[in-house]
Amino acid sequence: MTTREPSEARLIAKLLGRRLAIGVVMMIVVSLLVFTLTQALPGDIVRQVLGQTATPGQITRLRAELGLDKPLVVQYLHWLGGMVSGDFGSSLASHTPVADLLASRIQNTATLVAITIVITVPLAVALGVLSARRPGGVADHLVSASAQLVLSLPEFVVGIIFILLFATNVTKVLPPTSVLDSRLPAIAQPELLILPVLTLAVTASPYLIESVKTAMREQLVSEHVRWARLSGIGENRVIVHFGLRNALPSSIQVAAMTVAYLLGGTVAIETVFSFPGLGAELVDAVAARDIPVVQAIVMIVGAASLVGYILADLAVILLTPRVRTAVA
Amino acid sequence: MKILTAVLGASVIVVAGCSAPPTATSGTLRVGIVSLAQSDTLDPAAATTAGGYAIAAQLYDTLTEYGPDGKLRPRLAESVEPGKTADEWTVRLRDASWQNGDPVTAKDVVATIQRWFDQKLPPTTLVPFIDPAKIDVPDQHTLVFHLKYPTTTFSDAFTSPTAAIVPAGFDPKHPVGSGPYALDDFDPGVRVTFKADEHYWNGAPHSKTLEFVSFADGSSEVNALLGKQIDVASQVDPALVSTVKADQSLQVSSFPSSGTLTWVMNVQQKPFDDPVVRQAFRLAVDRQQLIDQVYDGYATLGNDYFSPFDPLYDHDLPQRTYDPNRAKAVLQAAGYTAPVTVQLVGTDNRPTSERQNQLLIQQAAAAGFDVQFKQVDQATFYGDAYGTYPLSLSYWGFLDIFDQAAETITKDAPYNSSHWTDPQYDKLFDQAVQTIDEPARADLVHRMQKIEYDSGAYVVPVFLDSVTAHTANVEGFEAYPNTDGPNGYHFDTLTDKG
Repeated sequence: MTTREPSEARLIAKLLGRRLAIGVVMMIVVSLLVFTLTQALPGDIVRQVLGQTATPGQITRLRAELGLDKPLVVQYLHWLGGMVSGDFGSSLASHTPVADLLASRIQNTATLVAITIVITVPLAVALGVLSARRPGGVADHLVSASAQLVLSLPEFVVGIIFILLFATNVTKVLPPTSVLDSRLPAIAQPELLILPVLTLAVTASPYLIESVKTAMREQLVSEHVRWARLSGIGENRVIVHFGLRNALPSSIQVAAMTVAYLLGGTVAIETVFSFPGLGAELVDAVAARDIPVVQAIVMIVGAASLVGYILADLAVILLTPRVRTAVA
Repeated sequence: MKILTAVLGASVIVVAGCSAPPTATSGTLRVGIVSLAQSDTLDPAAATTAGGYAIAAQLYDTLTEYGPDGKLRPRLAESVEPGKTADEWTVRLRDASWQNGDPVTAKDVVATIQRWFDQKLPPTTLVPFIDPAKIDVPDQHTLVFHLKYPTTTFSDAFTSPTAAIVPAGFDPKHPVGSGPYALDDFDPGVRVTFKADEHYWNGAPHSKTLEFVSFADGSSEVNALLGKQIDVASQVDPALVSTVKADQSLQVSSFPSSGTLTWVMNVQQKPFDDPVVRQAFRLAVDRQQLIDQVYDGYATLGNDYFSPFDPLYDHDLPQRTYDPNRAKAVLQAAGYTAPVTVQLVGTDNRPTSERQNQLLIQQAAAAGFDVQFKQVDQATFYGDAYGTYPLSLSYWGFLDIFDQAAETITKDAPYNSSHWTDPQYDKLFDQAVQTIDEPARADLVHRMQKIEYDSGAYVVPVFLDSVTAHTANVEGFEAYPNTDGPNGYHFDTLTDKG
């Protein structure tokens, strides 16, 4: 044991190192994509800033002021170099550093996503197990039907339905919009978080439930579960120890994908609720052609998703001896 | 001076007994705006956004403004009067103080104007006639402007929120103005909070705190009003009025304005390079149907020229009406075979823009036009291709006749995206701005408008009502037909009884 553990730790470190290296390469690819695609957007920030009544003189002056007259390669290297050192540049629209501008947005969206995960993951595991226990049973049908319904609706429609149900038409128990006060942390304004969290949780959970269900079903018909049942082990214990324990690794990967999905889902949901987060800011920044802000948000979301995947990989490795040894 | 006062009419403006009712200041007034933006600035001279204008109107005063009747009135000025000729103007300031308690002086006004010219800020285009080196300050409250050339548009030029007066040594990062509200907290694109200046010259604002809250779209804003998260929803889409009216605790206040979504016919592109096609196209627009279907009645008829609340607006030209048969006949007589294809580019510059364009397609089809419509986002619309669209829908208004012409119609107009010019029109314009005699000036203006009516390049189909929805507790709404904002942005005179 004493000789095995360090080598295992080293293997995991090696594996993690490889994942991180791939991650860095991916981020560079993402940065190239983001940079070229945002450059290709039609329209012009300078005209957006100066408005309908801009004169050619004002346009040329602002363009030079913002460094937009330099070659693209120079702009890209300057931007990438800045980002590596944590400098995201300045917003073209407001002239404030992008980092300052996004600080409270990142906190708001992180709060939204974190609360949603804390609610969604246990709920999805419970519902997934419930419907896997009796395939074709009432619970299975109910869960599948609701999942189908939710999957057929765009996120913003789900948001609007909840607004109609809980805020404006059917009942008026919750606030219909969520313009957080930036002077307070998001968590201190819980009533404004309920509907966005609910919408995000409802739209994201079908994927997670479905994957838990599939993995559990595979486990529940497997040899070792049959053996456990035949040995007279209680059904609940069979489900937790023999089913769920083995179904978890694949579900963790789906959970990581769900995080990425949630970050994407915030774009529509934050807009519906006028929630001042990264997603709504991305929409505004694209509309305003505020390219540094667009680039920073996409890079942040990309990096967050990547970190999620790497952590999921790590968890899977730690949970599955097979994978651990396969690395060796 | 008596003659001048009589003949200049709107140009000579003297403060009419400034009454400041002692109203208790209390509570918070929360106003929804669609939408605030990151590019909203606290520097009035650099403001280009709806949010920037709304903010400027709270923090600062302009020398003059358009009042509840749409007519010019003094604001920070007490009076604005021309000399014997229109190249000398005297401005007297009222007793007012900055939000830090210092008095507003004539030197601050000079510093404001000097700042525009030194930093080449946009308001310089409003006052091309001012020589910043030729402003005399005989005393603390008086300025005498010696203009580069005579113009009667002097006092109108100062109504723009961008022309707000700031103190000498102004720093936009720590804005100080003489307006009814001082800045409290600024979260760009999300929320702006103001606190009342109890010593405002027009009396303490009726609400202690004012809050602007941004919404992504009109329906979110109305939702917030239904949920009592805001007290006032500004610029409500007429299509949402019925939703608001279904709630007994809410009310709608509206008034006709000079704002318009106007179709711009580009005379450098086919088919509108031919005046005959322009004439036919104006007959292909059913203005009344636009009012009924797109605006639910919240609009008034337009007659293809601007500024209906300007005292010089000619109300006597016959109202142009929908006549698809005559349009077809005109086209046929000129040798065109129907349908004549027209490329139309639009954007969501107003909530109703797309609906107005969609209805035009149907109306014009019956008149022999095949309108091919392309909707783009605002950044694309106002991008490099702006001014090259054969037909486009632009948002204009809230200007007097001369400013509108100087911006969009005359030969030198910087935003004349129709590229239409008419030497006769330009000559009349130059004459009119220098003419002090009002009947003579009115005659010249009417001749200008006749040219626009007969052969111009704009279709001004309707003028939009300003529609504000609010809780029944909020009172004090007045009509400000020449200001683009609820209650003319005068939130200090609204009272929230809730």
